[in-house]
Amino acid sequence: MATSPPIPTAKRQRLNNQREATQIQALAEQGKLNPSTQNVVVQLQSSIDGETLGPAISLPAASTGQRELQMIVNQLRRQARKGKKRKVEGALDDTDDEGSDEEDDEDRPFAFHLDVATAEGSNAPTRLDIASSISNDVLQVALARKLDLSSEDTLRIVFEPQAVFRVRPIRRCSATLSGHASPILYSLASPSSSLFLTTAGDNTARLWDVSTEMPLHTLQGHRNWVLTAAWDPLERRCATGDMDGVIYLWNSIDQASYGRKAWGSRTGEQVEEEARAAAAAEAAAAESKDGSSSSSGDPTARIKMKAKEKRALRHAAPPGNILRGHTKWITSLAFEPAHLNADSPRLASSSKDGTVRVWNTSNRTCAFTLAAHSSSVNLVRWGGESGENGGGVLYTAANDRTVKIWDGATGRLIRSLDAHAHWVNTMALSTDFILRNGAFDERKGGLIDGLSHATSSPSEIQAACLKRFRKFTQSQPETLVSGSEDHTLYFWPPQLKGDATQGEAGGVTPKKPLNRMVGHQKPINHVCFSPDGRLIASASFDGSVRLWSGTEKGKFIATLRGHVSSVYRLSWSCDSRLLVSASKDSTMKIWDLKTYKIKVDLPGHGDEVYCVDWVGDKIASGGRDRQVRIWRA
Amino acid sequence: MPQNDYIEEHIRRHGRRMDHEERMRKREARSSHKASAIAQKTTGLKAKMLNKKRRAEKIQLKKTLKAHEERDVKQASTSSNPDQALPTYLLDREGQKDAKALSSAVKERRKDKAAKYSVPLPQVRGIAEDEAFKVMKTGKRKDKGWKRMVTKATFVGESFTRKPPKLERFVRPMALRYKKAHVTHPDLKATFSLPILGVKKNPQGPLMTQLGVLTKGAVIEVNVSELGLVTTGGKVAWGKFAQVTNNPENDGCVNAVLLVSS
Repeated sequence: MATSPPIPTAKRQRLNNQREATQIQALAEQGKLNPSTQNVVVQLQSSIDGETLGPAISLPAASTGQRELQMIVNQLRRQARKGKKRKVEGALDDTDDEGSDEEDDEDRPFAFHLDVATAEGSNAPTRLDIASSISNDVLQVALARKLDLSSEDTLRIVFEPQAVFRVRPIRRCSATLSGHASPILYSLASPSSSLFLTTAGDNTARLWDVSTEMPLHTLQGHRNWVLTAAWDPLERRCATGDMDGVIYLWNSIDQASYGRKAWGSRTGEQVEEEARAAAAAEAAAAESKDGSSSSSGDPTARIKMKAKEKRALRHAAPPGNILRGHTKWITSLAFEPAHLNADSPRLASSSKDGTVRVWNTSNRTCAFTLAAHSSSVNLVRWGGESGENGGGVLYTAANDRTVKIWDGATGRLIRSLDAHAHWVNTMALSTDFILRNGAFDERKGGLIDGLSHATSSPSEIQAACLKRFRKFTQSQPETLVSGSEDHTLYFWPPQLKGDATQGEAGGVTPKKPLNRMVGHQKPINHVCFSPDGRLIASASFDGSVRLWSGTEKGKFIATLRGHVSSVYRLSWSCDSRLLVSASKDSTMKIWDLKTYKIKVDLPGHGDEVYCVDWVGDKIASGGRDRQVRIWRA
Repeated sequence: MPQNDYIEEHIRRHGRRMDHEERMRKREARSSHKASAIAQKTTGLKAKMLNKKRRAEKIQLKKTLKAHEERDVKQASTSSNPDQALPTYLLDREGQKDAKALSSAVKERRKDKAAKYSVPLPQVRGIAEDEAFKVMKTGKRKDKGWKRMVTKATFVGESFTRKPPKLERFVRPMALRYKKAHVTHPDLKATFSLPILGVKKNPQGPLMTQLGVLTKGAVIEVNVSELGLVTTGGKVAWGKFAQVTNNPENDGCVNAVLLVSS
C-alpha cells in the first residue's frame, strides 16, 4: 500500500483556513478583490511622538510599497526642515545647527506598518507591515478583510526610522569549530565584534577570532563548569564565572588596542621582558634570603631561550586572576558601563547564594556586597543612568520574585519591584546594546569618534560614550522588562530619569509596572530588547517567540512560531532588523519581522543549542554537541 | 456484626483494659509471623490469591523504601560530570532525563547508517489462507465462491473507496479497519496513539502487504509529528516505521513498537 501524504494538523486550523477561504471567495464574488487601479488615502504618522507628517495623500495602492513610501517620507521631512530653517532664519540672523541631529539631515530608511485592533487575548498580530505594496500587505490580507479595512478610509500608516546600515541576511554555516570537550554553555561577542568568547563544561573558556574563524586562546584555570562571562565595554579585559563561585579576570595582552591585536599573541620583546622580570624577582628573593648583596648581572642582558620555548610563550593564553567570595555558582556577570568609568570599570557578579558582589578590578578586591535578596539572584545588569551619587545603578532579578534596584556607588537599595508571582528568570534593559557595545562603532570598527586606546585618554573615551548614551536615551529613556516563571513579563517605567508616567494620566509611580505582558504558556527563558529599543522579543519554554513593542509600553505585536520545543536564547542584529532564536530542538531560526514567519532556518547542530550571539554580521552558536558554529551571509 | 455501636459505647463509658496497649503492640509484632504461617499452610486457589496480594504489597513496600533512600542521599543534580554541563537557566530544573537520553541515543544511532533495521520480531508464525480469508458465497444460487472476506485487521487509508461490488475480490469489512496504532517507544517506554500512514511490509507475503492486512510482525509507517523529533537536517520527522506486536483481530487494537535505527 502506498504511503498517503501527511494529514493536516489540527482540526481547528483546517476549519479556520476553510472559513477564511469561503470568506475571500464571497468577497471575490461581490467584486471587491480587484484593487489594481484603486487609490488609497494615506496619512503618515511618526512612531516616536505620534505627530503626523504632511497632509493626507492619495496614493495608488498596488504600486506603493516600502520604497515609495520611504521616498515620500524623506521628501516630506526635507520640506519640513527647509520650512523650519526659513522660519528660524527669519527670526535670527545666524543660526547654529546645534539642536538638529545628524539623523534629521540625512535621508533614512524607514519601516512602515499599520496598527490593527484585535480582540483582547487573541494571538493574531496587531500590526500589518508594509513591504511590497499597500494592496498586497494591507488591503488583501484576510485580517484586513475581517476588520473591513476598505480603500475608502484614510489609512494611518506609522513609520519608524531604521538603522542606516544593514546587516546581510545569514545563509550558511561557514565554520564548525571543535575544541571544547563538553557542552558549550555561554557564548558572548566582544564589543568590537572581532572576537567572541565561549565557555563550556570542560572548565575552560575559549577565545575565537571571527574574521579568520580560528581559535585564538584557551583560557584555563577554572576548576568547574564555566557558566557565564562578560566583556569589559572597552575590550581590555573579560571575566568568566564558574560553578564553584569563582570568578576569573583575564586581561588583554596589549592594552593599547582591541580585537585580535590586543588578545592575540605577544611580541618577542614582551616575552623577553617578562622572562627578565621573572629572573630579577628570583634573584631578589635569593638575595633577601642570603642577606649578602651579590651582583645579579646586567639587567639588560638578553635571556637565552630556545626558539620553541619563545614561540610557545609568545602564543600563550593570558593568565587569569582569581576573585573569590561567592559560596555558590555564579549566575551572571556585568561590567560597569564605559561612560561611567572608562579607566577601571568595576565588575558586578550575582550568584545562587543570593548575593551580588561588586569587585574593583584593578585591586581585585570586593568593593561591597548587596545582600537583600532571600534566594538565588538570577541576573545582574549595570544600568547606564547615574544614581544620586554619580555611580550607576544595578538592577538585579532573583528567585524571591522581586527585581531590586541598587545605587552603584554606595550599594544602598533604592527600590524593590515586587509584582511577579514566581521566580524572575530574566530581565532586559532598553539600553542593553548601547551599554555593551556603545564604545565601538559597528560600521567602521574601532572606537567611536575616531578615538583609539593608544592615544586617547580615558576621560575622552568616557565623554564620547556618554554623548552616545545621552543621544539614545533622549528618544527613549532607560526602561526595564522582566520575564518570569509565571509565564508573564512586566514592563516597568523608567526608574531614575525620564517620565515615569509615559503618557498615562497621573498616578503612575516607578514602583508599579506599566504593563503586564501575557500570552506565553510556559516559563519565559530570555527577554531581549532590540538595539534601537523599539522591539522586545521574549523566548519561552513553550516554543514560541513573542514580539512586543518597546516604545508603546510593551504592547503585543505578534507571535513567531516554528520551533518544536523550548526556545533557549535570542539575539538581535545591530541594525535591529534580524532576530535569531536558538532552541532545544537543535535548530536556530531567523525571523522575518514583516510577515512574522521564519525567514531563514539554520539547522546543523547535532544537539540542543544552548547559546547564540550576533558578532558583527555573523552568528556564533554553541550547544550540547560541543561544536561552535559560525554562520554568515 | 454489631447492630449498634454498643461496643464503642462501652469503651467510652468504662475505658479499655489496663494492658490494652501492650496487647495491641504484641499482636502487631506477631502479625508477620502469623501471616507467614498462613501463607505456608494455605493451598489451592486461596493460596494463589494470597500470594498475589502479598507480592503486590512487597513491591509497593520496596518502592516506598527506595523513594525514601533517594530523598536521603544528597546527590547533587549538578555533579561535576562535564558531559552533563547545563547553562545557568537550566540548572536546578528537573530535566526530562529520559527524553534527553532518547534524543541523544536516537541521534547517535542515526549516525551509524551501516546498521540496518533489526526488527524486534524477526520471525512470525505463518498464517494459512483459509485462516486469513473467509469464502463469501455470491450469486443468485450462492454457489459462486470467488470472493474472499479478510478476517484480519486491515488499514485502508483515508482516500479509500470500494470498487464496484461486482468486481471486488477481497472484501475488507469496516469493523476490522484501524486508523490508529498504540506505538510504544522502546527506549522511553512510553506509548503514544499515533495515526497509521500505511502498511510497509507484511511478512506473510506481498498479497497481504497490498491489501494492508495488519498481523503480528507487519511493519507499518506511523505519523510521529506529535513526538517532535528533529533530524540533523533540521526537518521535523513525521513518519517512522513500527512493527505490530499483537494480534489485532483478537484484541481490538493495534499495538506496535517503534523501530529506531540501531
